[in-house]
Amino acid sequence: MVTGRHRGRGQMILIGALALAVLIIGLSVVANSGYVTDVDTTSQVSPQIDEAQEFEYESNKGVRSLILRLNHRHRTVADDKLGSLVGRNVTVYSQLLAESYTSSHGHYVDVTYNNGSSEYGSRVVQAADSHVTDEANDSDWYVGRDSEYRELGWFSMNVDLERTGPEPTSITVSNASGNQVTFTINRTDTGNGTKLRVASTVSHAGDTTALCDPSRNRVLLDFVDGETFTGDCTFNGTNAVGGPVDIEVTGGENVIGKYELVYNESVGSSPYSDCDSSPTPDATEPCAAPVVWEANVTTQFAGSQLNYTNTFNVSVYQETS
Amino acid sequence: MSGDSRGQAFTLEGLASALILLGALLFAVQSVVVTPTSSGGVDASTQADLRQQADDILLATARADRNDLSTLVRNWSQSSRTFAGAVHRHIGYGPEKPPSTFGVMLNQTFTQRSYFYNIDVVYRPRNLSTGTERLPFVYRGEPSETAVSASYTVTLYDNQTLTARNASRNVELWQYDTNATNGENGYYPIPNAVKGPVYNVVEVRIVVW
Repeated sequence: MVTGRHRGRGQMILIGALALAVLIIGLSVVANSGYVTDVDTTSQVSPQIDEAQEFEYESNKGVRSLILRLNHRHRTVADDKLGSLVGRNVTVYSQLLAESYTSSHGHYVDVTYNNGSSEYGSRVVQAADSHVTDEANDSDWYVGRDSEYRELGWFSMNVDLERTGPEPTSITVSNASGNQVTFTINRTDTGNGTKLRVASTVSHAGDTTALCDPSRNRVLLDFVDGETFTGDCTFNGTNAVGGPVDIEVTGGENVIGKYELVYNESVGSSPYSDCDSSPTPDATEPCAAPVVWEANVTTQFAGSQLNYTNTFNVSVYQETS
Repeated sequence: MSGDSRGQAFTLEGLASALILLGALLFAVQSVVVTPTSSGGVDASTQADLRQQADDILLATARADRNDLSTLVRNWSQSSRTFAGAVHRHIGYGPEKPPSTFGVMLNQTFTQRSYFYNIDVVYRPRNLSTGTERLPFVYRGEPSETAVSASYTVTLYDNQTLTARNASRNVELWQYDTNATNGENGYYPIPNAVKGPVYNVVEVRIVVW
């Protein structure tokens, strides 16, 4: 038989256990609701941070792509006209972005191009098919000046394979330290048809040779990355030579094509005229036109919980991550 | 001694029943938070997770070296007049997995965990005052009330081309007709919204439930 004393002890322990159970349940409910509240609260702010980061990334990329296209769209515009052209197009782009962000996220965004704080470079362009010679038709020449080194942001050549000869044309890109890469290009007939042979010799690395297939009798070369724009032909590019460079052409009469290259600044006493000079140079001759090398941009993001304005530089020819 | 034993037995019984009760209550409390409701809705923390996952998929695809969001938006078939490989122009890829890594990520993140999603490509019409229009990329039904959305903005340019396997690489976006009934020059429904190198700014929008 259970005595009153023993029963009392047993009931005390039971009541204690029940009290403990209630306490644990109570704490778990409080902790759980705290956790839910925490997730709910952070979920309000976190998407805006993500959206702001997305906006920064996309606007940076978008402005870069837009200016790159504008830089290479016109040949005879002066600095001030290019500046206002870029400003207008960035404004239109900004309006489209703002509409998109307002309708999808309910945020206001804005992108403004600051021409006064942007840096200009120089684009040497031969817009129509011809020999790769200078204004005086010299086959051996510098695209710029000997030993006047500039950062190279772009160097493309669209070769007319049918009219290009089997004799080689050499293009040597050198930096002040003596490192250089030499591209030797010529037409070659193979069992699989006519191709453009591109041999690339890097002074401190070695040689590569590629046979590039034409598309509609043309081969579009990207000398900076060392590939054709279709990506099916690769060779050592100018990236193998760091820093500012000068560019020498030898045997330029052997190749027919169009080309463009972009330096970070113009070259003094160059063997070509400005494209906007009068009379306008013929499209078959090289000439120099301005480009926006580095764009100064202000972005604005206004959400319900996040507001900021950010001013930064967009490097048009050097992709930043 | 027998009195003590019975007392301890009562106590142990009491403790055991308390533990059972406690376990049942805890299970019930936890179930309320993590289990989707019968209507297909999801709780707040799951909603936040789904939104974040959709955002991450869009971000990862937008920054991919190959088959990024821009490539997928331009993956348009002239013959079927919808996205290349899609089931039908009204439901896009519908029940099928969208192409490339984008489709794999969506499949692993949502479909395999029994969540549904729709994806639209929202674009600006030529006349900006008429609001936006949309193309169904994936349509899998009417979203529930607790559905969440995530979107990513993609810029298209005049001189880009369609990316479908049989699309011509020599025809740029601005050269396509936006009128499906005419279509002499090929058909791509997203129009050239503004003058200049920018073609359109489109939004890829995922709705998950």
